[in-house]
Amino acid sequence: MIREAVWVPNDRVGLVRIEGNLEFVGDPRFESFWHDEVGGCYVPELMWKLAGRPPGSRVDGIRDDNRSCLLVDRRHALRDQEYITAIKGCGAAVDAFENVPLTASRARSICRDPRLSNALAMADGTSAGLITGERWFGNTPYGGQAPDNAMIGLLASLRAEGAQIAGFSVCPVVGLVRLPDEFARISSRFFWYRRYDGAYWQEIRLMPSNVRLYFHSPVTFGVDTSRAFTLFGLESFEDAERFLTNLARSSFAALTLFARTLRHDSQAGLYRGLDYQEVWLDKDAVVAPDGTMHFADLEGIEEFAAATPEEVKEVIERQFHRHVYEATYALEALAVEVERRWRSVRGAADRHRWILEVLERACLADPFLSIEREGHRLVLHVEPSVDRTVCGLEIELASEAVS
Amino acid sequence: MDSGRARLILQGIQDRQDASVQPEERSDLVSQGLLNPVDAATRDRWTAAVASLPSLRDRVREMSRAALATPGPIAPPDLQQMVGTLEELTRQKTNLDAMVWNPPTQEYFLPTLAGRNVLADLTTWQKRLGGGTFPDFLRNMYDYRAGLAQLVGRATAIYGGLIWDEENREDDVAPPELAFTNVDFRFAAMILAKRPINPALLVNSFQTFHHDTNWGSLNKVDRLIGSAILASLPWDFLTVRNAFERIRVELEYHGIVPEDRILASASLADVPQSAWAEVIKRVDDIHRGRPSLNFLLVSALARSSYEPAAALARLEEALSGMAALGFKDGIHIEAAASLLAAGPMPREAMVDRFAVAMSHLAGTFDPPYAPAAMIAANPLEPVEAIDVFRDCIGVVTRSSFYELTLEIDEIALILSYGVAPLGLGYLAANLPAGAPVQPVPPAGPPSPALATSWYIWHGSYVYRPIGWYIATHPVHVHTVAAFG
Repeated sequence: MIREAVWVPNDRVGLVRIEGNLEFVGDPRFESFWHDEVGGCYVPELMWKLAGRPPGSRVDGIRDDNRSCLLVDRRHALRDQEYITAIKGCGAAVDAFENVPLTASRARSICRDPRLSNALAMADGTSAGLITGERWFGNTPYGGQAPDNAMIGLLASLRAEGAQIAGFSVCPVVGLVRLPDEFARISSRFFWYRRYDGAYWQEIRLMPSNVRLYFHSPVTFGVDTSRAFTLFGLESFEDAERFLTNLARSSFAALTLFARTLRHDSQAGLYRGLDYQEVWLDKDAVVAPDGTMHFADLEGIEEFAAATPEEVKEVIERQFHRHVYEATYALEALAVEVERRWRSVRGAADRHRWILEVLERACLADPFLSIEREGHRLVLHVEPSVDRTVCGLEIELASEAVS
Repeated sequence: MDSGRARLILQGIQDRQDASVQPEERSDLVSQGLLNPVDAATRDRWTAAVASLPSLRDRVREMSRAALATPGPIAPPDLQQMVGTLEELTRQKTNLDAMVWNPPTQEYFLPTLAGRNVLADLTTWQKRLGGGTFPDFLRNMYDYRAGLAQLVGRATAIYGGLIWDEENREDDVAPPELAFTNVDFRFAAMILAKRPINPALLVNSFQTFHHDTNWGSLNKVDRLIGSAILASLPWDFLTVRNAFERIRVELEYHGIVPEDRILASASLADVPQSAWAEVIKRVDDIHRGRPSLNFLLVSALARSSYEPAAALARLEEALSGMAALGFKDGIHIEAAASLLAAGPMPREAMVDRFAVAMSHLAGTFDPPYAPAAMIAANPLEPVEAIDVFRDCIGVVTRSSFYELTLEIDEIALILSYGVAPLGLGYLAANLPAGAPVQPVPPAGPPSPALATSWYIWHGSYVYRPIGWYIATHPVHVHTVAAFG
């Protein structure tokens, strides 16, 4: 049985799908999905008008985060989970420097081309979204996507079997499509301070939901847990426990990503594994309807090299502690909601006991980690995919908390 | 079996101790799903099977490592089967760790989730069990929770009616700044649901007050709270409105400023006319005794069962006691102290009860002082009142009677007012509008069934901050222009 993807309603975004001779780099597994369902690039309606309304078809998107949209009627199943198509880099909804919609009149104020500026004078004042030429966060066009970032995401995604990299669940990237020059030229004429001088690309990815852990969704798991329960159809304690099991299992897979992807590069004499670069679970991961946390922003996942087993252990420990708070927050949010709804656990101590028990069970079959009770402590034993005897280590999961 | 014995058994098994469950007790507990019996043969079979758990786990992990190292779409079938077995053995191990031998019936018992919940109920309400039978206790708790669900069902129907009515009104449409939101209507609907009449009549009554009253104010929240409270009173529209407007005029003569007058008079609209002079005299006395006190709080103290001097002394004591705990300064602290002072508990218990309620409400309301005082001033024990409140949170959440998460606790607090299991419902009991204030028995309307002040407190110190938060924060407050 395939579990349906779910999404939280958000603002509608008018896009125009441009097909034809586009530059595309993709994952061969999704070739037919690309050709049959989503092939094309997606530009905000306003930009399409500025470009002189070239041939294209209107598509309704649903706003997801600041520069992405969901195409909720373009879906694809992987194993037993359905995913919604998301386009990253199809226009920013909000002004880069003020928390106000990036309307046509706002766009006009940053326009560097009199011809486009005049054309914008005719546009209505609705929030249109725009791919701009402002250089943002390194070298990314605000509202769009840079080719190098997009390629990092695709390379990470290509390592996945289905939607998993060694047990770490991800939102797979279908492919990357380059914005045609006529649109790139328009985008480059809109910026506030610094012009972005690169190609404009879009990233097409698959997401099981748009419910993030804490930030950047209309409903987030950590803040609006009760609404997330309704959205995910959790109607009993047993439902919630199954959900917690999946959330715990997938969270701990995410916390041990480096260990589970570790390999030894004998030519370079280095250990290599995947690590997070300026990405976080709270804003860059979404929760699937069955509780499995999927990491969405794969452009922030890159290989990291460690020279020695000691350095490997340091990276494993740093990765774990850097992100464990966010993961624990999600588990606690779930337990608090269970207590509020069904009162099946009562009080903080009971919640912690339940979470840790479920966590132990959830990770039982995980080949890269095990959870052991040692007196009153709960200890995580991490066993990397290679050289586990010298690279493995213990991390304290709970101190004085287990009875 | 009496409830006390049931508690001892369930607690004993929870603590993995011999509870010596007798055969007749066994049948009561097992038939209700509160205990799971396990025979010795099953236990031995599980013990034998669980012995293989470590080796099976190691094999599963090694096979998983091998499977992940080999590209392929799914795990091999034998690995999937082994994972299933591993999960089953883990369940059996958990059961073995939790089971307790019961000599009288020569079997083991396992606590169940339902049993744990009933034990929690028995523990919370143990002072009230009074030798009652266990089946009666279970039935009573069931009825009480079903009653909560019915109340939310009524609120849902009223809410739907209010929305429909507002959308289909043809006469004077309120200007946008006075139009009620869905959040406003849910707040009102929950107050109205407590009045046991046809929801359609309640909708009509609310809308009549809302649209046909000369409020003399453009304050939307005052009109919302006022309409909800007045429509919740168990008399006809003209009687209530007449009382409301006459009290409002009286209050004007006694120097109560316009911004306080609507809610102050709504909070007194259930007081029989024969007692108005006494109440207003008390208002004057309390105001003289503490001129800086907000008139809503003055009116709450004035209708309490305490003479003005005693009420003010209680207020002082509450304020100083709260200050000693680190809670001082500000209107919300003053409101909380007034609610405690007006409450039915002995003065020496006021602050202790408040502290207990505060410790349980931390993180729910912002600020939590008035809600904690409302819980503390309720005639139940604080832990009992908190338990009812948590039941109410559960039913509001499960019924999806909210849109914004921050509404849930506020609506649940209204729902919790006056309800309790085991025949302990206390509508109006914590706000005695009655005897001491009424020198003459009421000749006209019957004594009110609802204590309107409670809703004024809620509206002013719980709902208003939430409404302000909602009004000043966009719904998509979490979607900011950054990162991603």
